Amino acid sequence: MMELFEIEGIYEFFKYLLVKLGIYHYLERILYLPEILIYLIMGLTLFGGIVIIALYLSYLERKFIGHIQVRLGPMRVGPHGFLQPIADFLKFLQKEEIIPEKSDKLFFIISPLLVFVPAFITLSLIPLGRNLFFTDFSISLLLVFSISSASVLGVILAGWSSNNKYSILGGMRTAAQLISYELPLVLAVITVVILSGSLNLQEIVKAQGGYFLSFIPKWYIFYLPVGPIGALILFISSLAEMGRTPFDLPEAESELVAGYNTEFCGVMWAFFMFSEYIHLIVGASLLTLLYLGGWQGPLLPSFIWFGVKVIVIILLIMWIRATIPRVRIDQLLSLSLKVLLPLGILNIFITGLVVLWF
Amino acid sequence: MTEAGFGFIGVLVVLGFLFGFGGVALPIILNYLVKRKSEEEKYLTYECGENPIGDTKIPLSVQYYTYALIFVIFDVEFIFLFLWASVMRRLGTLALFEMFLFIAILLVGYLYAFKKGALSWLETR
Repeated sequence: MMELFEIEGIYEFFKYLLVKLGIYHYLERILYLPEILIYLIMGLTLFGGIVIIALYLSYLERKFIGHIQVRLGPMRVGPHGFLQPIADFLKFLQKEEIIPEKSDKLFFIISPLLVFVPAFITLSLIPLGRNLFFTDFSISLLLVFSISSASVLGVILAGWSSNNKYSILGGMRTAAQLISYELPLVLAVITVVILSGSLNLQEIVKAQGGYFLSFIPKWYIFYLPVGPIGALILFISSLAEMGRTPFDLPEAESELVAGYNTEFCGVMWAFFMFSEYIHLIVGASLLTLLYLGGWQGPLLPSFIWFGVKVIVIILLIMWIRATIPRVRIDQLLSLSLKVLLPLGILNIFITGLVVLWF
Repeated sequence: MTEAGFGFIGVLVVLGFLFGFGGVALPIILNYLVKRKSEEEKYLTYECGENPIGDTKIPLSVQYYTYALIFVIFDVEFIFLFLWASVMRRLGTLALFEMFLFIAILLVGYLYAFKKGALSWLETR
């Protein structure tokens, strides 16, 4: 049992399973077959995990916000509505897909996938524990940003191809919001890169091990002049990147109906919902990995620490959603380029000076 | 590093699109099996229950195109920042001040745009 905990990576875990089952030996006769087979199994695991996690995050959100607003949330299906997400999933599958007559049909069908697939891939780059990770590239931090920003294309395409006024306004807004908050987001990340000197997420987390004065953990949020500011910039701009309140202008339901996904229904809408929740998980886990020490923590296994931190941040984001009203679009854009961008550049300067001179 | 390489990303792209097309195709197949009502109004563009007026493929005033221009300039800069940041400790103080200079040149342009009011919402009457 102990040797299971020392396997590095999910790839090695499945390889170990295949070897133990005695199949690996036969598969090895054909070149690349074992690799591709293990990749497929990992991909299926990831997909199943994403579907279940996204469905239950929606349950968590409904319950949590319900209790904040002194009501119960879903209660009917199963004990405390626990089977509600599964009922929702079955409902998605049997819904009819209405493709509007005036829409651009090819792009209309492709656009949910263009949003979903990049989000799906980004999640595979996040290390979930000391030895629990799908991939471990030396540039995984850069890859997360380059792949996740591809989903902007899908959003604009969804807005444009539905040929609906609400959709196109929502798509344009989303594009403006995503590109203007990309800048402070990247600046806050570069602060961490300077501090740790690495683009590998695992090494960034490993650099945060240990304690100041033997009780304050060496997470980057506690690097006093620059850490808290960087974490704040990262938190605000990833809220905007995820399209969460107070920056949920892409789907401002009181003015734009549902923004870029007004015309979508059934499974196609479900893909938008899934990718929204995946962005939520990725945003929360990036904040955890970069500033809150990732899976570092005493006593408990690493992946439990990671999960606890991510869930705390997700609950914080949901709490904000239940509390704070939405900002206006011009306020949103000027906050990013007039406040956060100069602050981020200043933060990088100070970080560089601190790292080199102290 | 013996773990999954870039091949895994490729497999994920293929799997993602397969699941995606499968998921989208399933209701369409179901639609052929289960006869659903096909009315003309169902396939109209949604406009709060009214008949839609006009098209959306018209020239649209995008107020925030200057943000896009500034984004392009800074985004290219940040690629250099990533490379610089990951080796900064080894390069030392000189590289730090060179990067300060590089950003300062860009900041002049940023300040010019700020002064010109490119970052403010345009007044439309």
